[in-house]
This record gives sequence, C-alpha cells and structure tokens, in this order.
Amino acid sequence: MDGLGGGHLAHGKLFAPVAVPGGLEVSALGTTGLLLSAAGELCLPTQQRIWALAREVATWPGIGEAVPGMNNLMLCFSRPPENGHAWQGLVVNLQQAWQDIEPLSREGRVVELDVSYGGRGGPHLADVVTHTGLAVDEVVRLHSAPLYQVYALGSHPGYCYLGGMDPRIATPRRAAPILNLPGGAVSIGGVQTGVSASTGPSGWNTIGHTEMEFFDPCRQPPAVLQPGDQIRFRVREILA
Amino acid sequence: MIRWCSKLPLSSVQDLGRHGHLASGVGTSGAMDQLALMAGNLLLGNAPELAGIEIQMFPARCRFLQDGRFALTGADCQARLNGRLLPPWWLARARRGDVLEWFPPRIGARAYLCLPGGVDVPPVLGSRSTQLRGAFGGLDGRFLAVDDVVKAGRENDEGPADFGVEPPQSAMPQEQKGLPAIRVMPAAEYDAFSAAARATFWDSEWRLSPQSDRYGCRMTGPSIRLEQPLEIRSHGIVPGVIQIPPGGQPIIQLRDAQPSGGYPKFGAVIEADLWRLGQTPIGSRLRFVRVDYDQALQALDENRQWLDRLACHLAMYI
Amino acid sequence: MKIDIQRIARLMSWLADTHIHELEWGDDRTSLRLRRDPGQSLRQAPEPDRSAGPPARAADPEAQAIERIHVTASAVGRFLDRAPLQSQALVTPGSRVEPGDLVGLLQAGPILLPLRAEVAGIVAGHAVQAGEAVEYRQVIMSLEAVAAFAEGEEP
Repeated sequence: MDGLGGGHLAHGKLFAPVAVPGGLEVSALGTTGLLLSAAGELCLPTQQRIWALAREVATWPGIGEAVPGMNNLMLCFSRPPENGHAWQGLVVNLQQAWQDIEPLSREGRVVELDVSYGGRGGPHLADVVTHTGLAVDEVVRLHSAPLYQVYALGSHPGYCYLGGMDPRIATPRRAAPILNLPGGAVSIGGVQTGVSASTGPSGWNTIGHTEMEFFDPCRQPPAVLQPGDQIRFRVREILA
Repeated sequence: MIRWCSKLPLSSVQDLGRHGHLASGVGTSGAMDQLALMAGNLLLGNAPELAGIEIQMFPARCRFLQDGRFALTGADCQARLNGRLLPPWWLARARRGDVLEWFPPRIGARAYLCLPGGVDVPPVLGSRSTQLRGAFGGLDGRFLAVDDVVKAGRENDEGPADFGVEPPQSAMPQEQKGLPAIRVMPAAEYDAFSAAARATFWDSEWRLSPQSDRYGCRMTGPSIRLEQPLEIRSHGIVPGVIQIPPGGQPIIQLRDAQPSGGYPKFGAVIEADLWRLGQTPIGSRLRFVRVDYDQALQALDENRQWLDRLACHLAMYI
Repeated sequence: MKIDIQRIARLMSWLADTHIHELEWGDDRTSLRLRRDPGQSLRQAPEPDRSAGPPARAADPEAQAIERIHVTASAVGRFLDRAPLQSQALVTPGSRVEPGDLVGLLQAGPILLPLRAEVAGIVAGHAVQAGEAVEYRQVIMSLEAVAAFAEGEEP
C-alpha cells in the first residue's frame, strides 16, 4: 500500500474553494457524500436558500438525502459519482444550482417552551455569566427575547439547530463534554443555542431545562419540529 | 429463536443501517462490520441486509429455544456449541436446548450471529438497527439483556449446514509497515493543518484507546493541532469522518455517532474500510494510508466483488 | 468395508493358525493391518509417537489391533490444517480425536468444507501438507482407531 495516493490525488483535491462570489465551499466526505458550505454571516436568508437547494438536489440522480446544517448542506449519495471527473461535474452543477436558487420561505408554527433557567437543570449558567461578563438576569433576558428560527435538525433524533441567538451570550463549547445530559436541556455552544431531545452527551453549556417531546418514531413525520418552525423560550423561573 | 443468556452489555440487533432520516437527526446505526453481517446472512440463504446480533463483549452465551441453523461471522471467538468448538465464519445447526458460547477473540473485535430469515423485530423508520439515543429500533431500542428472547424470521428452517467461508481479513489483507492499514481521504479542514501535522498523521502508529465504541474510535498517538483554532458551524457528518478536537487526538465518528458536528475534519476513513475499523480491538495499533476518490471507489468495488463471489459459490451449496 | 471388533478377533484367530506374518487390506477409506512377531502371539504393530497422551495401552498378553481410517477429501480444493488466520493447527500427529471432531478444512474457492474424524482415535500422520491442492477422495491424513481386548476372550 506504500505510495498509493501518497502525494498525488488523481483528480486534484476534492475540496473546491469558492470560485465565484457567493458560491459554495465544497468538500468530500469520503465516497459517502459531500458538504456544501455558504460563506458569510450565519443568517436566515442564506438558510432559506439552503432549504431550497436541499429540496431541489434531493431529486437528482445518485443523491440519497440532502441534510441541511447551519448555512450548509450535506448530500449523501445513493450512488456516488463514478469517478473524480464525474464528482467535479456534480460540483459544477451544484454551484450553478446555488447561483440560480430562490430562497424557500417556510411558513412554520411557533412553539413556546417554558424554561427553568439555572439550578440543577442549568449547571453551566454561571460559566456563561463568567464568559460574557453579564449578570444572570441579563443572560436569561437575552436568551429568552428572540423568536428563534429552526434552521435544521441534527445531532440526535428531533434536535433543532436554532438561529437568532444574541451574540452577546455566545460562549465557547466546553473542553470536556457532559456524558448524560437529559432531554429538555437548554444549552449554548459557541454562537448557537438548542434543546436536547433525549439523554446523551453534549459539549455545550447547559443553562436551563424545558419539558417537550421532540421526536416520536411512530409519528409521521417523526420529528415534531421542522426547519421553518420557530421557538420562543418563556422564563418560568430563574433558580440559583 | 434464542434466549440471550449474557449479563454483559453492548450486544444489539443491527442491520445495514437506517437511512433517509439524517434530516431529522437520526443517525444510521447499523453493523460495525457490514461484511460480516452480510456474509452470515448469505450463508443462511438470507437477503444480505437482514438484521443479526452484534456482540461486542465477551464471553457471551445464548440458548436455542428451537431447532434451526445459525451462522457465526466476525471476530474469531473460538465459539462452542454445547462445548464443541466451531470454526469461525461458519454455518451450523442447533437443536432446541443447545447452548452457544463466544469467548474473547484473539482476532477481531465484534462477532455476529445470524438467524434464518434474520432477527425478527419490527422495523422502525425502515430499519431494524438499534437507535440507542432515543431508544427505538432493534430490540426495544437497547442492548440485549439476560433472558431476552430473540425470534428468527424463519422458524421452520431447513437446509445444509456445517461449512463456512474464508473471512475478508484473510481474503483481503491490508497492511502498511507491518500494521493493519486503514485508508483515508482528506476532508474539508485538511489544509488548515500544518504540513508537519499532516505528515505526523500519515507517518505515525495509532492505538485504539479504551474510550472507543460504536460512537467513535478515539485514537491515541501524537498530537495533531491546527495552526489556528477554528470554530466551525454545525454540519452533517457520516461514519468515518475523522475529527480533531482541541486536545489533538483524532476521533473517528462511527455508526452511533451524532450525525452532525462542529470539530475540524482532517479526513474520512473510506466507507470500504469501516468494517476493518469495526474489527480493530481496543489497544491495538494501526496506520492510516491516504487514498483519493477513485481509489476509494475501487475499494468499494472490491468489497462488492468479494460478496458477489461468495453469493455465487454459496448458491452451489445452499 | 466395515470392520468391527468381532471381525478383527476372528481374523486374528484365523491368522494365528497360519504362518502369515502380516496381513493388511482395506479400501480407499479404511485399512486394517495385523502383524505377528515370530514366536509370539499376535500383538499390535509398532506404535507411533503418542506424545498427545492417549489412554494407556495394555501390553502383552492382551492382543490389540490397529484400524487405520483415512480422512479423504470430499471435494477438489486446498487442504488447510487450521481455520484462516488461526495460529494453531486443529490437530497434529498424536492428537486424540473423538467422532465428529474437526481435523482440517478444505478450501474450495471462498467456501470452507469440514474434514471430520469418523471414529475416535489418534492422528497418525498427514499425507498432504497444509496449503496443498487435493483431488476428490485423495487421502489427506490417517487416524488410528484403537480397540483392545484380552487374549483368550471369546470374540
């Protein structure tokens, strides 16, 4: 196996830096899929174009699933492009589709969640306070003020990636993740916020707890919230 | 039909995975060694994608509640049926009351038990794989427990038994400088690492840390660091993606990993080599080898040819 | 050809009345050899190395016979003395085997077929080496099935 692909990729690198303004950064995820990232600030209009692109590309031959992320899109192949040339050809088509795409505006529902901030359900609220320099009440006010957009689902069944968090309460992901964060945990990771849908590990800063069922595998569709829906956090209480 | 008799955890019902629900946050799950699962199914005349039992902790034991055949593939566990040694990668016949035991493997890490007609549990979202986070699919969305009864899809099973197949570790060996080799394609943040860091990754021996499981392989070795820290937005990932968290020790995301992440991606283990990772025991060493897209596709073809050849030859016996 | 204790006993008794020193016959699956030392009553042929520790054999005056069973290839293929990647051979000369025990494998393409002992006995020797190609019904190894009875007993 020495020398196999050691220094030279037969068809060049399989990441294509942005060639045109407003274009997508494209990279390979092995032969399983590829990742398309939009440049610029994380924002809803870009996400609406991502939704539109996902809906269009999902019907292309060889594409199994289109999975929106935060201003990005993962495509999983049902049948990978037959060689590096074909892969490059697909990228050209994707860039073109992105240039032409119209934002998809989704009329979603608004879901209100009552949150108990701090206390045992919010063990890292103090860390957010320390990092931001803001008082607890201010952090809670800034967190509960916006109407958050569901940008995408990911991470675990039913989990919503939300957009619209105030950058003043952004706090970096933790160095060591918590292993068994319960469902309903409300957390901040970097510039994002979200609510855990089930028990599991998380590297985010957990600031509160809410009761909500986000996923039922027997339901159609199984995820309760969809991209385009909106969440408002209501302050039930702030615990020490 | 079998009764599971082991107290040790980590065994579960898996098929080839749950696809099409990444956009709901549902990862694929599925067998860590897909070739082993498919071969076991082929031995029984099953469709290759049917569910089997993946065993990760040893010793393990089950009892047959009915007559029928079974296939053992994956790690060589010196399995015994009523005390009699079975060869690895074998199709055998059990009678009601027979006890089947697996012992800690000397080669490989995960064993597979296939039953006639596959493991019979209700499919959820199109798959019988166990989705641990969220607790659905497989057998009640959890690991097998003592006294669980696992049904076979085909209870009145007839057919020949007492033969086996050459395992892929033997038919398709892969080594680099004396160690098992895993093929990797660069990923998005590859160039954000220094040339020295990249060279270190390819040139080093890597050991599988004890914190490795179906969620991910944590590699122990030299530190691989970014030139500058990167905060990357959450995006979809697939099994095989190699993330480098701030600590500098690579983590290879696997079948039960979150289907999305935000750590820098150095590369992706090619899909065709995921089974090799699935059979890498904790504490053992390996090397990574860089390949390109075409080579990775060719590797998928080789796996497919191995299975096709197997199916073709088995057709003469079953 | 089936050989059982009574038949062996009758053969030995008959042989004792002749001047025949050694008698061997069989078919491609089984052979039987009876040898008589001159001046002595019939007893077993020289023993191979029994390093695998079989049950103790009675010495004279017990008369013994060796039944040699051939293990033959059930198909065209390659003889393997162990499953792929295993570090130890399934059996070696002198190994004690029970009926049904796996004594080797036959690889035909990707398929592995079992070679099993039909009787209880001791692995006497290999006629082919591990990895060698074999023909259908080719002898791969032989086993010695041991049966013992006291001289003078009625068969």
